[in-house]
Amino acid sequence: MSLLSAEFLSFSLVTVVLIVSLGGFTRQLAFLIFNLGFVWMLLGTQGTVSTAGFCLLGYALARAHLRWPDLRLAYTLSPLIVLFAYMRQYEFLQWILPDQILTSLLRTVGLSFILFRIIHVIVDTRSRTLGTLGFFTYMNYCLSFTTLLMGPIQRYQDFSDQWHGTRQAIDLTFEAHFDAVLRILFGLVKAYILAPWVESFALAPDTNVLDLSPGGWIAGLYGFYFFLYLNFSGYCDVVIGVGSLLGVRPPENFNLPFLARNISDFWLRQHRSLTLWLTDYVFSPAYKAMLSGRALAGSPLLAATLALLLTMLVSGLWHGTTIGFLFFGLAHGVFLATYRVWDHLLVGRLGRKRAAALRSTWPARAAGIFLTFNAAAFAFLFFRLDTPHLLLLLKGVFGA
Amino acid sequence: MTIHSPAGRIALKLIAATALLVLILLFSTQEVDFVYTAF
Repeated sequence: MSLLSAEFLSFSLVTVVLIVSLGGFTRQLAFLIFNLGFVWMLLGTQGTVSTAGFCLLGYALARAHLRWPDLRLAYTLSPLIVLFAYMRQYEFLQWILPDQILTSLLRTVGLSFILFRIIHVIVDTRSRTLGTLGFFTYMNYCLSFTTLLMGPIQRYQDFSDQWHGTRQAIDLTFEAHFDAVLRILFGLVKAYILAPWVESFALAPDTNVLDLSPGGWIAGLYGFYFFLYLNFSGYCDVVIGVGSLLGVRPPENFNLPFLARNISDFWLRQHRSLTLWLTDYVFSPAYKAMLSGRALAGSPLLAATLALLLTMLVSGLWHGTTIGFLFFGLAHGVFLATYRVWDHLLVGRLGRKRAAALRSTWPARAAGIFLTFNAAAFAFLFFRLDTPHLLLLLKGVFGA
Repeated sequence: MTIHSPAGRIALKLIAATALLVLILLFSTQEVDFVYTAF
């Protein structure tokens, strides 16, 4: 559904007016009906049932942790992730599952985002850091039409605090509401005017990149980088604006990633809500587990490097179902691990103070921005190309 | 430059909103695929 369509704009307007004017249980129920209605408009009855069913499974699993506090996470997360992999139809499943199973897929939308929200709820429920797990709040959190399709990945506590009025989404002033409308308009300009124009320069998924000139490479990769930024951040501007008016403002997701000074900084500026999720639920537990193991106990740098590689591999698989996304994740894992080792060596050689002073000089900052920009643009090659053209490139490069 | 008068600020924002709306009405493309909806 287009964000510029009369359908979406009128749906948003009616929802905002109704939700703001209602209170208590009626508001909870009305928002759930609107959210399910939104899914139904996108997917029809079968898709609504399978998407809501996936969320209900998550709720039941989170409840199981409340009922049995010692229940292991592996027992609840495994069925959820297996079902997710089946519903997402990962490319590698065709090698292990019969065709007739894969053709009877359950239709859903925004499933990767829903999965990460549910995992967050389950893990935080088990660690008793979630707060109150209410059924309607949970379902509206998972299915909120503002963040359903493409995030940002909001935390349950943040959603719940704003939804229940513990914290205001925005100031109750005319100007703050007008700012939200401006944000929506600005996002629409980014997504519907600037992004389509920039896309005309971007690398197409079916490009044989070996035939491109160096200028073609640069224009194609830079073009795709800027296109993706305008496309995704424009969308985020719209949903942050709508969410602000609704009373549940999603978190910020972008902060000029082109100005990142290193690859770690890049991931705090690009799809920030995903980075923070991956840090909390993949990197930190993996790093702690590796340090507590016998093999890596005395090697924090090696443990951090391996945890980074694992985290970005998960990120790649989360992004998409094809082999290209695996390479995209691996490329960023290698970049992050290299940066970590470089920084460790720099601090080891110069000491913390002198390393920080060196990093803050303008040549170091400019070099950092240049290198990070080009590394990020290069990694988007794997993100953009379709599988046959990516394999063509790899064959050309490695001569296989 | 900071505009301290609320009325001045809102007037400027109103002009900006009108300009953005005109841009959208004149130049927007209807067919846009959002890359991340595929995920």
